[in-house]
Amino acid sequence: MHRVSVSGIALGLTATIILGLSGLVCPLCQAYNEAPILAKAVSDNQLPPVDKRLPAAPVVVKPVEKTGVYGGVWRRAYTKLSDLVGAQRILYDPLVRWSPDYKVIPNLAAAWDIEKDGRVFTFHLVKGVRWSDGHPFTADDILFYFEDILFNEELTSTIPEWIAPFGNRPKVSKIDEFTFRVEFDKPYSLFLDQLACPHGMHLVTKPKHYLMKFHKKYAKPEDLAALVKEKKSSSWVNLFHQLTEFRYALFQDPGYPSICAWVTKVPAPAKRFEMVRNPYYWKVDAEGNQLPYIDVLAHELTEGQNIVLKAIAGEIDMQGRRLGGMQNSVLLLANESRGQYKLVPKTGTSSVGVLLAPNINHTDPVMKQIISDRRFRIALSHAINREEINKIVYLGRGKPRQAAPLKESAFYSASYEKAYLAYKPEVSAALLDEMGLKKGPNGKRMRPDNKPLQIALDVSVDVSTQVDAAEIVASNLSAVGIDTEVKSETRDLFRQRIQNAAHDIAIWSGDGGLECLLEPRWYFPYNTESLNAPLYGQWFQSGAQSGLEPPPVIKEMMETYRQVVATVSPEKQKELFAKIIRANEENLWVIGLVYGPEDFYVVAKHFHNVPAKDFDSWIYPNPGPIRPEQFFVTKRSK
Amino acid sequence: MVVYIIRRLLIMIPTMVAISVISFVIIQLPPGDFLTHYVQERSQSGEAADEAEVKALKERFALDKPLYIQYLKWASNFVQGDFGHSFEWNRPVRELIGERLALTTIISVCTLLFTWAIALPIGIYSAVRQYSWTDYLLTIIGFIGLATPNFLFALVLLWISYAYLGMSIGGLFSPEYAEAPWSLAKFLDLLTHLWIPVVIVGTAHTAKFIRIIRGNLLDELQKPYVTTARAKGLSETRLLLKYPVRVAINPLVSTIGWTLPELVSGIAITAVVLDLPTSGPLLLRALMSEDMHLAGSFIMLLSFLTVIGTLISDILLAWVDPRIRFGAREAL
Repeated sequence: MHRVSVSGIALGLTATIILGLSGLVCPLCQAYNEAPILAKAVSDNQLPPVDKRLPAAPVVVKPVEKTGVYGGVWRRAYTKLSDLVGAQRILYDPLVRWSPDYKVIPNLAAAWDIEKDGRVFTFHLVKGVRWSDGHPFTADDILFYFEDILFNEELTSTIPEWIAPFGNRPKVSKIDEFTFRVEFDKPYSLFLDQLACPHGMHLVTKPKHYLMKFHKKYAKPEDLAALVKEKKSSSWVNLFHQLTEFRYALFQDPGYPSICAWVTKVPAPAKRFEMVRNPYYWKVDAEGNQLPYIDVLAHELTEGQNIVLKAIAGEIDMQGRRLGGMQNSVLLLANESRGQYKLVPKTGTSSVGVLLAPNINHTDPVMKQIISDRRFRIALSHAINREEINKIVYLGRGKPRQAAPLKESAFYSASYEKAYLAYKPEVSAALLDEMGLKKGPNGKRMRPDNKPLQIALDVSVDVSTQVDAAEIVASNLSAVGIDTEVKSETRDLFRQRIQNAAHDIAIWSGDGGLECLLEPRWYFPYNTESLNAPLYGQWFQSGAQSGLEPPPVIKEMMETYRQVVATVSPEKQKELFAKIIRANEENLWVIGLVYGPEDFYVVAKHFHNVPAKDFDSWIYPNPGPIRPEQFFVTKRSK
Repeated sequence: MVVYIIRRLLIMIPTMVAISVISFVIIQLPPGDFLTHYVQERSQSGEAADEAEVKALKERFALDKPLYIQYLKWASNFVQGDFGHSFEWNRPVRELIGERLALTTIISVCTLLFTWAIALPIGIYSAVRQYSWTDYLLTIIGFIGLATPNFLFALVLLWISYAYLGMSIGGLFSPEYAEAPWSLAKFLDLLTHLWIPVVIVGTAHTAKFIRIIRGNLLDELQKPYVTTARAKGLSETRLLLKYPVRVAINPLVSTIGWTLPELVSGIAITAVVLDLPTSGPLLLRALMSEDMHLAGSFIMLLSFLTVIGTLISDILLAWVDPRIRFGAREAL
């Protein structure tokens, strides 16, 4: 921009003036700082200068406590390839994202307009973002995802429900290089929320320029055939799936371009899997320092039970994954004063830590009739001593309640939260008597067909709190004459029994206590994860194609939910969803027990900019929303 | 002798085929297959796997084919040295097993040497000085070693090495060497970590061997040839080592066949606790997630080691004990 042509004795002076002037004329040219290792790469001519790598107006992130220093390693641990969900949650940079207080905020999309009553969404991307190989990120990449992957029938047989709710498939069009429009047939109130969920990452992890050569539409047939052969795949579809599979692309293929803060250097599943800073990362802190601060994100491959030992020994800098649950919490709390770490709570968004899902799709008609009786479920609720469960399983740190929306949720209902909560075995016994489940000579209740009433509690063996709670529930139920046994099973067997609706009562956690609309599985049979009615859930998901047709009262809830999704006004949504909550309060399809206490992140004392608290949920991929790119490390004291 | 070895080698072939078929079937017996695990794990982390993707994966792993075709495909590749592809690790089985088998062999060989180096002298000593206080003392120590569960011992040593020696928790290398290329520094780092598993696995074996040697040697020492040799004035040490000890270590030699695979899979528990990059934990996990090619190839290699080990021990036995001869049956 400024040509420096000087001669003679004034050279030094003139240069100084010109440099000074250029600073005045173009304040942004000099404004950005970068990590020393990148500065070195620039001076070695391996990288363009920082202001050429950043967007003209980079996204500014305000650090939580203070401006950080560059460098260092963030040490974590993982147990296997699929456990890298933990790393995946750190690399969270969708179009729109969750803020640390769980609201939708801009990210890669700097702004958006919603028109036509919530049917049409126009997104404006941050201009000048680049993939980690330096290629520009534009609306074409988004269009590539929609048109060439999602709407390509060879690659995608069923479009995910969250992109096409109830078969409402959107039309996507490019307006200009940085603007695109998504148009639905009906209003879709949850679209932005869905984009902020972890699956929103699919839209921004498909670099068109890199993937074109693997796609039938763009590649020359003979080149593609050669690639398929070279990679030992059976077809281009398989090869494409293999390459774009999330964990493979991000963690196993060092050449795959990414827009995330760190990119793979030593591919997983190495003993020490390493990601290094993305030189083209498009965010800066308030002082213009390019993020991330931390140079290396390292995951050490280890056995599951050793992770907590490593955390206590100070070999983990910041991690919450595989450190949750009561046993670990107790161990971590006990060692906190001696260890090199502090514990940061992350509040679970589940309505309860343990709930009972009585199976109203039971294959045995007599059992189905018993469980479908509202009085039976209320009797179960009154028979359970929740205080005892809280005291024994959660050391008194939980809170008895039903599987109702949490207080922080817009759909909170105090009356549902407290419905049938009291420990009243006599009320329970009276209800069971009234149903005709008379006690036999041995004090155990009989079914109407005069067989003994036996209930099995199916619980997955890997969640120890749920197994412990199940034991107490079983003894509570036996006390009112229901012969109950606990069936703790491996996760596989558990899933298999439940998907076939072969269980009496399943035990699970109450997901969706906060994000009721995104995760409604415990408010009505939403999908097969609604363990109280998996077949009704299947019916709903398949658009009445498979599964079991539910009774009118449940159909009505499903219809109400459809309306909620198509309703833009929050007040109207609240009004509609309240109908669903009321139906739950009346019928008690699931029986909530106790709200579980929070888990913790282990945060080393030399690790900074972690807020004092966070949420914990799969929808909110913590710690992604609290911005890992602005975490930094100082020297270890040890 | 050569004919004998060749015949033994030929018998190995049908044995291995039988083992491969049985293990392939057994691994697939539990409900579901690898993909069920995969889909389920993804649904837990909130990612619904697309039907098309699952189908593509099924095809890629050939899980859509009948079992016998899966087997034939895997077996024919196996013979050609292609052990297949691990579903769970998304890497060729060969690479996965290769790096782990090398470390496992190092640990196993060290353990074997450690065991013999300790067990032989102690066993001989306590037989010769039977019922002396040193015999009792060594016996007690031996029994403690035998009775302590490996995992418990492993935990104790893990704690000592962390709290007093300042080593990192678990693993065979310090973190900075984990992915580094081999160098002298890395080798020395390995040595500082290696003694823990060697001692843990070694103690249990040592105790067992001490008892065996002691018992056998006591039997031998009472035999007339010992008395004769003594009467002829042979020095006690020479006498002991030349004749009775040679007979007494027979059982040790004949168990080499089992020792090899036992060391490979037997240190699994210790390896899980100590987080060693050896084959045991990998095999365990492959079996749990029904990672067919990995688990199948592993079992094949272990079986191969057993068969080879048995052969070696038979040959050694003949060499150590002149009373054993090959092909004796034909002579009769």
